[in-house]
Amino acid sequence: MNNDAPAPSNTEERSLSRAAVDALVARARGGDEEAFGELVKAFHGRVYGVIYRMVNNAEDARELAQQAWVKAWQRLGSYKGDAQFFTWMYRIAVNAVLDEARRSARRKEVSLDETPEREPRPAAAWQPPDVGRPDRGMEREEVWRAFEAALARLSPEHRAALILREVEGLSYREIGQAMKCRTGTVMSRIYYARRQMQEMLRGIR
Amino acid sequence: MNIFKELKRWSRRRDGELDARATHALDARKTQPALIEEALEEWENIGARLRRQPIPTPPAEVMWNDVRRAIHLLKAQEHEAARIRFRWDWAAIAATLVLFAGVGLFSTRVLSPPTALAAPRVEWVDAALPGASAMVYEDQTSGAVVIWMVAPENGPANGGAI
Repeated sequence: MNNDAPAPSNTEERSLSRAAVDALVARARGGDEEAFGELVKAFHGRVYGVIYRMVNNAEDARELAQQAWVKAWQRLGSYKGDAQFFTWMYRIAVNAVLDEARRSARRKEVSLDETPEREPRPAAAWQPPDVGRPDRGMEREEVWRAFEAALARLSPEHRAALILREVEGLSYREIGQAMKCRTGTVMSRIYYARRQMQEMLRGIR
Repeated sequence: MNIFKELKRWSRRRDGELDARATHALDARKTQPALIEEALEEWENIGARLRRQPIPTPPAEVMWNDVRRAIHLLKAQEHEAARIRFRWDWAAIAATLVLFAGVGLFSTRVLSPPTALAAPRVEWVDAALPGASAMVYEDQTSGAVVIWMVAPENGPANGGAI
């Protein structure tokens, strides 16, 4: 059994205390872009990690992460400080993914033939590395593929709850705040996500 | 024992979200069905695998550059929208002023004619008919100039002529 909160996936955030984060937020609310930039840099890894695990695609994750940060900039005025900044930020990130999932489902409903065209991205210095999975060590590629396929078959809400718990180590209350739902709902979602994953991965080791 | 309810409790127990009494009660049941043992092991594997999943995270600086560019674009769009709104505001004000001026002009010129015309202008003229008197005035409705002659009962003319 493991009751320890898992370590955050990005260590940059540890260098900022709550007071430092609040100070940066206050400056950013006043229009200070550099302060907002510090927040982006500090929480980028965690936010991107959550989004990537939910969409399992580097390009989509990057686009959604960018959207989430832009929304955060626009909505800084609504951040009251009653929850941790990252909880507030996770809410925006998770909502960005859920909104995209809904839009995508609608698009599929409207037309199964049309493939949405993406706007060309301006030339960037960074390209997502081809995670050819050598870093997966000794584990078989097919096991990973099965795992990712199982994760993708969860509903976005179940997937988000599981990721926020298992990877980010958020409490049910914090997940409820991030996903705007009750603690009981969070509990159910995590339980059913685990059960579904367990069922789908049965026999795969 | 309902195995699914029990599993739900173990899920919460795993996350440290079960209260102390329920945790104690759960621990007190020394034997666990194999199903629960198996589930706990699988859940542990799922969590571990999720945390081990390689994430191709772009550098924070790259993400910030993307975000900053998007924010600037957004600001430019908002500025442009405000400029258009401002232009439209002025256009609306100007149109309203023109409309008011037009209505004002219309009401003064057409609806309420000049006071000079309100009362008919009457002028006496010299008439050649003995004992007759003549009036010249402008008819208010038709705008025609009327010459009205009044002659005594026994005079050469009994009425007026235009």
